[in-house]
Amino acid sequence: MNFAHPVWVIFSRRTFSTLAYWLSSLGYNLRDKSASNLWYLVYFVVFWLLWVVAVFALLGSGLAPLLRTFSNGSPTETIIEILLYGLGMWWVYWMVNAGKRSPFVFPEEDAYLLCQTPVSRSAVALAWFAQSWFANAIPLAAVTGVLSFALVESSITGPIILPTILVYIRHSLLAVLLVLPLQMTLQASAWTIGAWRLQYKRPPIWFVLIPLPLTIWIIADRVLNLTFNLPMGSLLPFIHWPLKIAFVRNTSIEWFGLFFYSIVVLSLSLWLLARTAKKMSLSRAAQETTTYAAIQTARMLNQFELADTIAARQRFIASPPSHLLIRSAAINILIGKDLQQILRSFTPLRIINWLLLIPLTVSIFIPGNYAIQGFSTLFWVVTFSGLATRRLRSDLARWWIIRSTPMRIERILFGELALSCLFAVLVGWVGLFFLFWLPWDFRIICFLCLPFITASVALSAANDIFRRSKARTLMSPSIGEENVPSVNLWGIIGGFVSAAIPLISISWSIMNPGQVMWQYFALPISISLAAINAQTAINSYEHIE
Amino acid sequence: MPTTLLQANQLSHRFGQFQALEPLDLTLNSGEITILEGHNGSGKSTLLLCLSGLLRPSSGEILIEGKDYFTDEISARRALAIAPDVPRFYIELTAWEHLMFIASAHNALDGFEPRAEKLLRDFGLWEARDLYPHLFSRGMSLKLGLLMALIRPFKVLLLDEPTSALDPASTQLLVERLIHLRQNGASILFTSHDPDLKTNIGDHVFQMNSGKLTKV
Repeated sequence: MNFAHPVWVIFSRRTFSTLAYWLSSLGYNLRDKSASNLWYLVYFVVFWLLWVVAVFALLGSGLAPLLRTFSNGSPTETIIEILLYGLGMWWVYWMVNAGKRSPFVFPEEDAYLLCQTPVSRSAVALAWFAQSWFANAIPLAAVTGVLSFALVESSITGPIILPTILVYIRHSLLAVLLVLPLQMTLQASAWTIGAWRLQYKRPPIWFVLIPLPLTIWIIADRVLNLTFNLPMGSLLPFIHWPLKIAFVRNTSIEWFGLFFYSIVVLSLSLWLLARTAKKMSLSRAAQETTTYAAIQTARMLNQFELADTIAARQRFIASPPSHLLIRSAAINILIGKDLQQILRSFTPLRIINWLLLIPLTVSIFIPGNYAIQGFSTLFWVVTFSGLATRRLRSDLARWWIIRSTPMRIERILFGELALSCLFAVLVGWVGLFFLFWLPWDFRIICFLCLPFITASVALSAANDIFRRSKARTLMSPSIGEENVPSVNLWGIIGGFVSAAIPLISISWSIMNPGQVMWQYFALPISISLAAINAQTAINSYEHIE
Repeated sequence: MPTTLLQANQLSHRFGQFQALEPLDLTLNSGEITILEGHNGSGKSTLLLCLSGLLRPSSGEILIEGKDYFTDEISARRALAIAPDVPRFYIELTAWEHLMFIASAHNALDGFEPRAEKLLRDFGLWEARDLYPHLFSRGMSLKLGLLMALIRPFKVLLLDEPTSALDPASTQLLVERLIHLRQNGASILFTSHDPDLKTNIGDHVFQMNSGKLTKV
């Protein structure tokens, strides 16, 4: 192998850095070359191997009774069916994706450098395929391992001793060694289609229609219970047969025979991929995938907001003028703008975040156990702080616009936080209305306190953001809100304390019937805390340096 | 008789240990165009950001029509307009909506539509009015930033390298617009590397060098 080959250089560096990242998250520093680190490596490997066996055994023992219950007497057939469905659907997904967008994903730096050079396309295809396959193979190997453990568990009786553990490991390894080449072959076939399409060839109509009969069959047979007496295995025999040998082994020769056969088929599929990729256009692949790569990188770095922004930039092209802005001008132009932004950037994922707030908002008022109530309040504060300050952070990222508007800070804060607070309050009020088992006077106090508690949490989060914002950073070029701080520990603590004090006062009164007067303190306390948080947030905004 | 619209006294700014702006005095009068020149990193943009209130100065004061910027911030923001060199826009609002938002925030919606249309047509953005600005080229983004300053009333206009990405026709149009604004009593301060602008329209020219301001 030519180790100076540019593709090899990129492949090895990327693989090394990815490996280093994952190993460091497991507790091993790959870059440390000291002798003590070598000894630590031995301990590290042994520890994680034992951990894997222990976790697989634990999951397998949990799964075994389920297999016995739901498998109509044959756990092996159930396991084969699970993997058959999983691999079949995964393969169809890859095929359809490869027919629409290049499976070879190139970030921007590759688009400008690697894709413009005359490097071997086959080498690029194999290197990129290997990277992608590895990421898919690990979860599949884990699933296969757990299923094997469950299968052995369901067939072995008596105490678990060392030879029994070796049986678990042996069965698991033998299954994984057959399933992984199968999965690699399936993925290679999908990537070959992708490479073929990147030669500027249109996929034929039959290719697009491949998943259609399969999907109809699965829905009809498994969802609608219309039995055609056609087993799934006969639709996908090339997946079903190796799986059967992997889990139902009669002789070692049969296993070795299939293993050898799998390797031969895999080699052929890789050769076909390399050959098809010879003439593929890397520029086209880069064109199709640079944005996708940016979204993936942002997600991997935990920058979900940035990933959303990049995706939104692809969606937003043109729109007729909004009347909402004009209509809202008389009340608060920021509210109108925010409402317009919310409507345009609406995604199902966002609504899920807001729906999560409904049970959380109600749960903070349910008395009975201080620890549970405290945990609910903390969870509510964390969730609501992030949601409440989303628009505020978006405006801070456009500092030159928001800071130039002749609006008082009180008005700005109101415009930024009012919508989210209003939603949380309405949700909480509806929830409180349905808490029939709680006395009315208690519920009325909660009704009155909720707007101030909500405002306190939002203002505490806003204060935390203002406190850590730097004007020069806010003015620096960025794509999303990555130059604006998000709510941090102090914002959460401030919000939690502001919410917990009135809540404790209310809960104390209901759990101690002699102390009813405490619940009447909750309202003035929550109003005072909201006022303090508002003043602190205003001061912090005025002193953003 | 020109009146003083903006006055900076002993204005300075530090980024940690780095002195970006040495204490300086600057006066901008009505009906005058002031040009600020200097090499990259000399502190021109920092001065503009401080004068506009986007960046809080480390020391000194800024007076807008005789009143301290930070004690009467609302009036100061009404009087000052700024267009940065790399403006950032909302991804969910179109170019037209950005102008509408600014006009609305400055209570300047009377006659907004014809004004916005004229500005957009003059600067060649009319056809792109319903597009989202992240689709704009660098020159178009700069123009939209300029229009967001021009759509609202102001007394002092601060522009950071307004011609850096403009084509010659747009530069000429901007120059004409600035001359017109000067005739109407506005005070304009902008940074530029363009020697022609200095000789053609600059009433005063200042040089920035390592955070120090000198009159040319």
